[in-house]
Amino acid sequence: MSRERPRDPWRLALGRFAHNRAAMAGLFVLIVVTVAALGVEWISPYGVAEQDLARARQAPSWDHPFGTDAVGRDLFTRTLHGGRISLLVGVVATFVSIVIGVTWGLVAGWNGGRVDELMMRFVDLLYGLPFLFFVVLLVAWFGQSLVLLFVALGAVQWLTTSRIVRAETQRLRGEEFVIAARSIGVPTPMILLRHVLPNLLGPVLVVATLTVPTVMLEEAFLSFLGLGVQPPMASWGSLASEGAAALNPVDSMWWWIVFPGALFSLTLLALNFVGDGLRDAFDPKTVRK
Amino acid sequence: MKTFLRRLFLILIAAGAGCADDRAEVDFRFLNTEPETIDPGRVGGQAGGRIVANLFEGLTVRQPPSLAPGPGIAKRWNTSPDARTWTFHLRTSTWSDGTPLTAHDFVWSWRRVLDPATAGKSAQLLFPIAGARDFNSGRSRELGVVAVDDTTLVITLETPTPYFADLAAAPPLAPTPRHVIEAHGEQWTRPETIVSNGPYVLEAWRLQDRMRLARNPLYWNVESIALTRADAVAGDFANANFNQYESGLLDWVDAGGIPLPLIDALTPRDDWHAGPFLATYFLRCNARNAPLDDARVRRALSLSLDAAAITEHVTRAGQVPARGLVPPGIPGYEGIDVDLFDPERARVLLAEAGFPNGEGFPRLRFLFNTSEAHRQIAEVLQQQWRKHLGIEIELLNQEWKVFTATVRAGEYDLARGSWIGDVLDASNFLEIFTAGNANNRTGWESSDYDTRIAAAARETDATLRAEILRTCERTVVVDEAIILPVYVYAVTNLYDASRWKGLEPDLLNSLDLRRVRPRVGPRAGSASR
Amino acid sequence: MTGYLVRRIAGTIPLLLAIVVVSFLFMRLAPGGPFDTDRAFDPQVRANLEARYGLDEPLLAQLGTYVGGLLQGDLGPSFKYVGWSVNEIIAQGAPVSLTLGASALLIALMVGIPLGVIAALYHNRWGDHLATGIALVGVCVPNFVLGPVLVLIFVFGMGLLPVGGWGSPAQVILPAVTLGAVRAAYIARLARAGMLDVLQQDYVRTARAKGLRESMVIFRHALRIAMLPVVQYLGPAIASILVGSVVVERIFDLPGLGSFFINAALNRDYTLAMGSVLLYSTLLIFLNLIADLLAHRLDPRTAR
Repeated sequence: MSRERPRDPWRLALGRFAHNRAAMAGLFVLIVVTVAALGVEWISPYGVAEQDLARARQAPSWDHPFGTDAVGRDLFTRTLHGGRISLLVGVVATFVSIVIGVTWGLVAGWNGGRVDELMMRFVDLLYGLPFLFFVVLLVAWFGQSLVLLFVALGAVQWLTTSRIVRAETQRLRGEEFVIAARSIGVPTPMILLRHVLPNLLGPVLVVATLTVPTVMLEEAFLSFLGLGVQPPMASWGSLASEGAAALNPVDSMWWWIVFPGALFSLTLLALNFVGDGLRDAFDPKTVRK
Repeated sequence: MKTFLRRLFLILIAAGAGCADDRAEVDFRFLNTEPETIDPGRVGGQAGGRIVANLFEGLTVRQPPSLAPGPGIAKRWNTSPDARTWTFHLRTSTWSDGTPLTAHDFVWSWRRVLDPATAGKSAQLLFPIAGARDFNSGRSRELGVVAVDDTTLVITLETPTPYFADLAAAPPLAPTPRHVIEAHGEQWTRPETIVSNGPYVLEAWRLQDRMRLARNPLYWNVESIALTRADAVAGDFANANFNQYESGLLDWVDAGGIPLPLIDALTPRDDWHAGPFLATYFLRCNARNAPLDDARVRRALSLSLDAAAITEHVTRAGQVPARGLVPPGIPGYEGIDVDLFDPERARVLLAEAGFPNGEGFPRLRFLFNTSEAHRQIAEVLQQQWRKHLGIEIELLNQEWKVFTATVRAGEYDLARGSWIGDVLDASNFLEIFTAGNANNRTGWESSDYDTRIAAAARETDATLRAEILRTCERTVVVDEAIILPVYVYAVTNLYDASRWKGLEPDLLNSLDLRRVRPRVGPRAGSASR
Repeated sequence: MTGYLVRRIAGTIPLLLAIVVVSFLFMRLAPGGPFDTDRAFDPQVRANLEARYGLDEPLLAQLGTYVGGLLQGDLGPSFKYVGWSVNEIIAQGAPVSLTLGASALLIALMVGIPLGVIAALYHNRWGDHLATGIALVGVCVPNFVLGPVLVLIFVFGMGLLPVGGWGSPAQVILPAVTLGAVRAAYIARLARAGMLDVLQQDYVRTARAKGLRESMVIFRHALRIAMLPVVQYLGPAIASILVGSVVVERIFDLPGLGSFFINAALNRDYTLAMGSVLLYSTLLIFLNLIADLLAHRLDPRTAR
């Protein structure tokens, strides 16, 4: 039997990614935003809840580069803090959805047959449902804790992941090395752990990166309706909703919506670029000319 | 694909056609939140009350600007010397379908409000009537309302109720058409079936969109009505409503169409009108939870609350810091008028109660319902108590329904609250704090207080009565500080006074379309601002 | 085909039932009821109210009554809008939402497809970059940011369009554009990808080599195949339009089903909230079915 060492797929992918200018730019933006969001305390002299009624509703200035809000809080600080929460919700909820989706897809793909059919039929059924409405009801009636938000938003997104994981698992199950491992009696968990999961990482990473913006948008949707994050905590969604509600012809506080909205959109854009880049990196068949 | 698109387009046209309606024939458009019901027997909130007051007319009518009760369906009335028997003499009038309106209609209507089967939300307003309580709980069928003949109504009251003439003008006491309700049941308020006796009838009703009121040709005073049609436009969002007003789609808005951030820009405008409102914004203390069971602690919290900072910097729309519980403006009642900001005294009291400089003071929770305005006020209060007393308060907001349930269950330390007066009498505010009153919700009770309230109810001399009520107010606000008054609400409206007469704000924030008339004849196109 | 249809529809009934039961449990388990209002009711009045709406019966009995009503097509009385049944409220709100959704979808298709096709045709030249750029903006700007900004520009800035409300065709434009923009962006991307794919195919090259006019090549042959990913996206597109309509109805104050649903959720109007969720779910399931059928028919791989 010839031992042909396959070219490390990770190295290949990384290389392709590094050559994708848009993806690299997106990655750069993401890093900058995340660092800024995490390091607000060092960057800005103001507290996130620090009110100063006398300086409320001020336009951007040297003191307050993003202006102030209705009770005089510095909007730059709040926007960065909002980034923290938005990214946190995005990442954690995505993580929850990945966990559920991977488990589901793994079980379905590995077992095959009746189990697979039932499990994926279930996924198909759920595919068209307006989950978000249930989340609205859930959050409206059972309280607005962050944890509930993580779980609920994560539970909305797991379907796509499960499909992808199932497809991959099925493919891997048919691979030579897996069949070989099974035939010599390697226990299933070992196989899954050492052979299947590592190969799933690529596609899962792609899905995850593209799920984060979706989740962030959903959190913003909830915040807009008054159901998501509550002040003095802020998320980009809640800040944007305050800003959107304030637009009017008389005295628009345009900075309330422009800055959080722009930063939100920029981050979403970056995430999309990175996600596309990852997808193209791992699956060159989909690369456009 | 093409056929799909074509079909889609057709659906679109069809659906859109169903939405077209005529806007041109409406004289006046005002903002009014979608009411829960416009059935006088069941009506409960301000939004519903406003519509009912324009569709139905009761025995008396509140006459702006003083809101003194004037003749409505009743031409005149008199009371017995002990103020417990009232006799109303009705004029001849009809319902909007021509059926004659008699005193029997009032008897039937009021019994219906109190009937347990109706589950009327304002039934408690009628409790001054003899036998009303027992009637409402189903224990008896006797009620102190009798129609001596078609035009004479005699009412017997439990206790002397000097404000009864004002109460008779309240929406739940409006007459309802028995013949229509018995025929159509719950759905009788639909435009196709509704019959009313007031200046307007309901011509059309689209939920969450608008209610169209048209002048009632059979109204006994129809010559005095200037508007042919008026639209009550529903909208939940201050900014959207304001934008509609600015575009000329609305002629009048109240606080529901005045976004908080814009107040500073709006107050100097010509179309800004404000006046006092018979409503107070206050905080409830849960007297069951230590250390709030100690009156000194409550008083300390009250005295370190700087309401002026809130009215100047947060609400900014003409609200006034509260100097008592009962808002000013009630005829015959001078409030206690105390200055409630004294941080020095507050610190002394807190030290006396065992928490010098706030040491050892537990972290109380301040509960309020989710709203940006309440949030801002809560945060300001949090800072004030931190600054003046050195204590930390935790803020917790809950969605409206959960909030009311929590307060009702008594699971809070401090909670935001308010009260809008139903009638122009101080007792309406002070009765709340009697033992067992459903709106008390503070866990505080005092038999002495209850005795005094009952004594005031029995007192026929107006000055003495006012004095007793004043002592009660002092108890609630100053001595026991069971509630911490913050500010008196203001009625805030936007409308073009150069185009409309009769819209001056009044104490109950009512909008009496009887009085509204254009200054220069019918609408002359959209106004530019 | 018929068998497939029947099976699909049959499969949805238990799902709908499950939705009903789950929603019902949600509502009853959640804290706060429809009669918790600012003015507390006298305990007697409250008891009367609860008796009236059957809230004092055991949970299972309430569920039974509701399901029984459902089978007769009756969604129950609204708790908040006294005297109105949920059927009537939905009948008032649904046309608004449907018009909005249909218009948004129309705009998404009429803007997205041409945009994607142009991008593909001018691939890697400035037309591509421009179109892709616009599409990207559409994907990343949420509708509650886009809507107010459009209002600022077209209503307050230029005075061209009305600010909100419902009743005239002009009032549909901004909401539909706001709602359709994001889908347009997605559709543009899919159309572009599909078009690029197709343009590389052999038969396209053959057609070109034969000397057919470029436009003939595009519109006759390539477009139909290229639109496959777009048609496959229709299902999710409709779903996201339905969800997005809730926010857009809020922004522009439209008396549609979305507004009713959110208010019902916030007011604990049990029956109206449940009725709305049921309607949305049913609508989505059937629209997905139609979209899947369409994709099935258009896909040359599965077409008979």
